[in-house]
Amino acid sequence: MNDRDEALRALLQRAAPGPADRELKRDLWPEMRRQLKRPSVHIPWGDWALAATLLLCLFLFPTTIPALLYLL
Amino acid sequence: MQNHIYLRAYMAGVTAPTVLVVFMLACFAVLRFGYNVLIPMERFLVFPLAIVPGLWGAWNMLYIVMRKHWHIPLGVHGALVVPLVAGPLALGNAFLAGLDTPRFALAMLPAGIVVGMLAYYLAWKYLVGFFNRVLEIG
Repeated sequence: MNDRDEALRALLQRAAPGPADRELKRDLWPEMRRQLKRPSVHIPWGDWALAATLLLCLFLFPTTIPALLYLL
Repeated sequence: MQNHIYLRAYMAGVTAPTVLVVFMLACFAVLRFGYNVLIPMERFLVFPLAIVPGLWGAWNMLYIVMRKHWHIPLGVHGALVVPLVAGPLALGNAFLAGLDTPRFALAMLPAGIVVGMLAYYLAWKYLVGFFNRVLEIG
């Protein structure tokens, strides 16, 4: 790095110093552990049955597909 | 994040149909331009593009009001929008826009409402419920 690079670096640092305080204000690890422990989404079997019924209806009555899309 | 709960409810409600509308638009564009199905796109798309997202947002705001008085599951609340608001509005819009509604489509209306309620139940329970949790109103 020559003198011009150093000067440019100093200029850039003066022009855009960045955030003064870069330290974290709190420990992120407990939050990460909570996130890891959080149970994945549980879908009850009744909702699986409803989804299957919906797919079956769409398969048996394909004319309802445009109507359904129209409502979305 | 404690303030503006109705604004957050509106945003949470609007998000899902705003994403789904792109998928819907793509389906109709493929039908219209790929398979030459005669759909009057510009009249047809008024309802899904202009009314449905706002309706979901407003219905989610109503959920916030209603749950203060009695507990109703979000999925059930979402499913009720089909027979109470979205269905009549969609039909009214179809008639006003002069869309050709075949007789068999009208005969299938009850089945269509049931299918719509099923889809809305699942979408509201899982999609809107997720966005409500993200925006801390779930």
